[in-house]
Amino acid sequence: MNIATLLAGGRTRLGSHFFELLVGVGLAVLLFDLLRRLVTDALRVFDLLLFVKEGIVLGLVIGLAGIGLALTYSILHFPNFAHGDYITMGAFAGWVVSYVIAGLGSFDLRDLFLIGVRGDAGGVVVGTSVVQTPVAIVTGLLVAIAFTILATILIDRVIYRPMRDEGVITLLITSVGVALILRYSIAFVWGQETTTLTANSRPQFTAPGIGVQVSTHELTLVACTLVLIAGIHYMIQQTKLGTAMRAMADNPDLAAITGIPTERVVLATWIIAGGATGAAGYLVGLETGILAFNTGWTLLLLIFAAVILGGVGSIYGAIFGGLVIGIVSNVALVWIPSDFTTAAAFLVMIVVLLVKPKGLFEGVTTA
Amino acid sequence: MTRNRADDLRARIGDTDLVLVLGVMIAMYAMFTAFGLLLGLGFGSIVSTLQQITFLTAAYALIVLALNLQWGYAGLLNIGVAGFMAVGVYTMAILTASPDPGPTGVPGFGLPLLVGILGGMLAAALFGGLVALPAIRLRADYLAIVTLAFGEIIRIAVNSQTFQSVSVLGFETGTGGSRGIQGPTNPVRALYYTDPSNPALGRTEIGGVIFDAFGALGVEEPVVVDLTYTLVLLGFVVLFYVLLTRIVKSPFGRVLKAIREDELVAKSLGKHTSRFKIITFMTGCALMGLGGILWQGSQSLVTPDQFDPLLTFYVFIALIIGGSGSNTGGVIGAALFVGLLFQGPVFASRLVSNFAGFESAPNTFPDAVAGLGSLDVQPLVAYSLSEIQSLRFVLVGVVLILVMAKRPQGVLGHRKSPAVGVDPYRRDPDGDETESPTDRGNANEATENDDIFFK
Amino acid sequence: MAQQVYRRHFISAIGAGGAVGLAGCLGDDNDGNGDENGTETGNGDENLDRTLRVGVVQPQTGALGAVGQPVTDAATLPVKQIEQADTSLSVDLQTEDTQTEPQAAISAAQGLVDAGYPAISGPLSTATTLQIVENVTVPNEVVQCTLGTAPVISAVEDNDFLFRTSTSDEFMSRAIAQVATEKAQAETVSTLSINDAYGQSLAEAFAEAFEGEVLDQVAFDPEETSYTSQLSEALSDDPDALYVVAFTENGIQILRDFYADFDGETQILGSAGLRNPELGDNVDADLTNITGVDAIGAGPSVDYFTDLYEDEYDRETTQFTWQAYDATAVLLLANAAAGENDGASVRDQMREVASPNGESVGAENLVAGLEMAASGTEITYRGVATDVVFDENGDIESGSYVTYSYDESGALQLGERIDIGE
Repeated sequence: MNIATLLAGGRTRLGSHFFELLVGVGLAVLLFDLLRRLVTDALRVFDLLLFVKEGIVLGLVIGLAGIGLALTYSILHFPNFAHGDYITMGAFAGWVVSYVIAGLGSFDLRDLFLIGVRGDAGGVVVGTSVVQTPVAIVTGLLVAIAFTILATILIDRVIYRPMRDEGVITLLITSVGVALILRYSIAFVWGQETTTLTANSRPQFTAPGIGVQVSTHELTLVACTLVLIAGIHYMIQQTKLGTAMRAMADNPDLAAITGIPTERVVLATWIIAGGATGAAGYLVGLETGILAFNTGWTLLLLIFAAVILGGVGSIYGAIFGGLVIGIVSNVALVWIPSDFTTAAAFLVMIVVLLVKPKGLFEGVTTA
Repeated sequence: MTRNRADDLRARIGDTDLVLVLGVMIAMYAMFTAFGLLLGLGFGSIVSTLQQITFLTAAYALIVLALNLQWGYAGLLNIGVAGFMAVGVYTMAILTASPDPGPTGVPGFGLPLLVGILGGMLAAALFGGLVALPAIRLRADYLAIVTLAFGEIIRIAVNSQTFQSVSVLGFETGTGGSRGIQGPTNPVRALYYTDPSNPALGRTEIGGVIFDAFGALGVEEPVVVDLTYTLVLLGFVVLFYVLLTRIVKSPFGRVLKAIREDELVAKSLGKHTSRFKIITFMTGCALMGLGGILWQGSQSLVTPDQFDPLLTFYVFIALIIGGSGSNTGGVIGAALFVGLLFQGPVFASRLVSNFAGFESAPNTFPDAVAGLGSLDVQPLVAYSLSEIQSLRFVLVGVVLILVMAKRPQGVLGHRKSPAVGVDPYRRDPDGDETESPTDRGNANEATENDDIFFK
Repeated sequence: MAQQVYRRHFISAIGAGGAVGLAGCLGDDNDGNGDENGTETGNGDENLDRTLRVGVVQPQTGALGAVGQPVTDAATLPVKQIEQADTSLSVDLQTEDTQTEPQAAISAAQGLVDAGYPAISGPLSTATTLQIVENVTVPNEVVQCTLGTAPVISAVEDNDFLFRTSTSDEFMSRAIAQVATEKAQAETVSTLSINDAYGQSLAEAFAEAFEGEVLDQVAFDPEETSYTSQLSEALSDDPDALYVVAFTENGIQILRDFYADFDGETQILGSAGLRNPELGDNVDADLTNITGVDAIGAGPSVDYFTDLYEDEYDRETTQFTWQAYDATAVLLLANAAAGENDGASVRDQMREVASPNGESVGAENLVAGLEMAASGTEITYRGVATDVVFDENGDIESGSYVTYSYDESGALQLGERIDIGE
């Protein structure tokens, strides 16, 4: 190692510490200002709590949607730009089935298929909600998972598999093509209007002491996210398949040499990622109550931000990154106008990349 | 003298390249002339159609060439192209807008157009540096996502009410928010009209002569003006091309290609690869700013809608079709993208709707497929035609995947300029590998032979 | 029931509206452009065998795709009427997509001009309109009838080729400011508006027109998954009322969040997007605190149009569908009266087809109206959205608005009529 490299290394280390220091000071200033605002009543406690709650809900939506992306990113080594449209696809598949189950007999099948985008069967008249139509919701969720798994495998077989050895950028651009096809095929069938999916999310619960309302659908989202994380954690940490996946994430060549059947692991990855993505799509629709052909696409950049923030390849990282993005983009309202909150979330991602280029969960791969 | 220069130019660009580009353009012209004839357009309208195709091709070619410098030669994946264009165009518009624009306009600094253009390029380069300085040490895919996020931040900023009107050092100015800011009057109009901002006030002498000449052929005044501006754009395409070719052939460019092939090797040879990458990135951004100004800045109003992230992907598709790493490929890619994917489907659907009336198109997809049970495809066809706009994007996606799967190097990707000064695999010095240094005794340095070109 | 309330108020107010229209028309006859062709219209029967040509440019994909598709359908509806009617007139209409993107919009409009269409109906947004006007329609002497609402459109140097059938934001804002003061009795108002040219423009115009104090002006992104934080910001200074400028699909989501997370006691002032008969069902809350203002139809033809539209396209009419129909209809009428597919001739008839003393024409007798116009009979087109009387800028002279509210059962109620003139 020559002296120049050593020096450069030292400089980088100093540089990153400098950045860390800067970010630390910035955070401290913001926290202080927040307290000052609360004390001087410039900001109501209720508002702050509301921002945080909204941030957590949005964060879980993003994080849940990010699990599948984190998995495929770490094991297949490319950012899948079609991920957002996998989410939309899963949501449409699941909700069509939910509508059919909830409304069969009272509505025309044709209208139910269109899930309220057109025709007479809107979310409110069909009455879809966890409390009113639990069977339809659970079946829809399962169908969303199954359909997305099948579709992702099909897309992998036809498109990604023959290109497995291509570079990351080739695959990235291919995935943009897949994204366009999926998104506009959905637009072709269902049109571009936004539909109101659910009847309502009642009953609402008031959090004791702080007065913030929490709805049934928000609670459903939290519960499903926890179950999904636990399931995937078990699969990756406790099974042989999981070990193979982690090995491939670390070093695909080494994994292949040691006799790991890489194609089977890839298949398993798509199954887990597809299932998580389909579930995410369905639940995002349930919680937000709206769905359109570009729902996933508009979430995609935030999802990427979350996944990168968490350090690609970690599902906890994805959830944690999602929570950071969600809370930042809501609490930022304390300081900046609402049209800049999304920009603030992206800025946080960029800053994190500067300080910790490998993300907050650096070194933790696929767990 | 002139002959000499022409010869050298040909040596530089290469006969085959020129022939290729012209061939593609002629094919596009033939296709759109055929469209026009089938649609029953007159001569003037066909000229106008071809003018538009050329304008769009030139506009895309400018941006594609700038992107090619970053990605094709230095391997820096920038998906914030629209953002950098926006920085350039908005800076130009703010610098040149009149300080007293009337009740509905956005006030600016009222500086001359040239200052505005240079300012716009500078601003785009500075923003490029701002992004590249920290992000350049990240992985290629991270850089891509950072630039995409940056593009969004810019779009959010220019769309926001906060910057709609701001005061800078006592000057009132702003971006105009989502309603946009007025662009400068196109300077080519001064050639034809005594008052460029109001054509109704009369023509100049040249204007009168040229308009009469074209008018006799059935070509309308506005088409002539647009045609003139398109020629200006084509001039800039040549300028960009020559500039990039020279950069690439300089020692600087060889380092870039070395970085693209293997950064570690370049580093171990003592090159400050980060500095090379940052300079390249900034240059590319400046050119994107200029390209944006020439294109989006020429359309009288600058609005945030013009810088949708989709535009970035369009530019990428054009570059990929042509083959990254080859400037000629980039220009051809721009032509193919505009002709086959951007305007082609629009004309095709016009043609179909002209010849097949589909008044009875079903309103929904279930209605459209209901007929399939009894093997009646007519409703589905009619529905597809009425939803042709969605299908156009599906087509773009299919083409993108096919290109990546079948020919990831693009139409001219095999011509990717090699990283070494003298291509060790080349046998025939007069072959069509024009992107690699055309030796003719000067295989070594382009910089030492700068005067070859300007002799 | 809602309909009855509406009719009663309508009849009591029609006299006033007519008078405004009449005054407007007398005022602009000495325009210089309309005079020579005005007498040329009585050419007789060969005018009845013509093909009227009109192009439609609207966003069908992109950011405004969802709003633009129903609007495009409305803009093409006159053609369906003519095709289904027994008449020797025929129509050649071509639709192009702006993709909500200026370059595509310019290309689309240029394509129509190249194909020889003398008139263009649309588009929705002001920015796209300005780019098309500057680069395509005015230089090529083609008439354009847009739906853009920003005041800037009045000021464009257009050689009188640019018209619009939607009323300027200024009128709308004066109407809503009046309602805010008189009906909601609000002294302080905050605004929550969609973050695009439409929303920004209306919010600003309101701030100018409102006599009380405007506290916070918050913009929201139409693709947000929740609007709670934005609502919280807008309500943070406890305004008496909140003015919501949104399209129906965002409006539903905003109101759901509003009633779920806040006390629901703040008065809501609604833009046109919150007027929707299905809003009550979709929001599923007590909506009695909502008062809004929307443009109303100038004649009975609004009912006819609504039925026709729903029959034809199997969906509800939405915001701007009426104005889009008017735009195409008035361009066709002017074309029929002009007797030729020529931009300048069509332009010269744009004001004539709404001359105050002619035979009344609306959506229900559009085909007959076209025949009358073609044979030189003086006609008065009464638009579906409002009286189509253009002033010297090509703007609608006066805006007719109606207040709306929701009762306890969530049913839409139409209230009194408000007329705003220059």
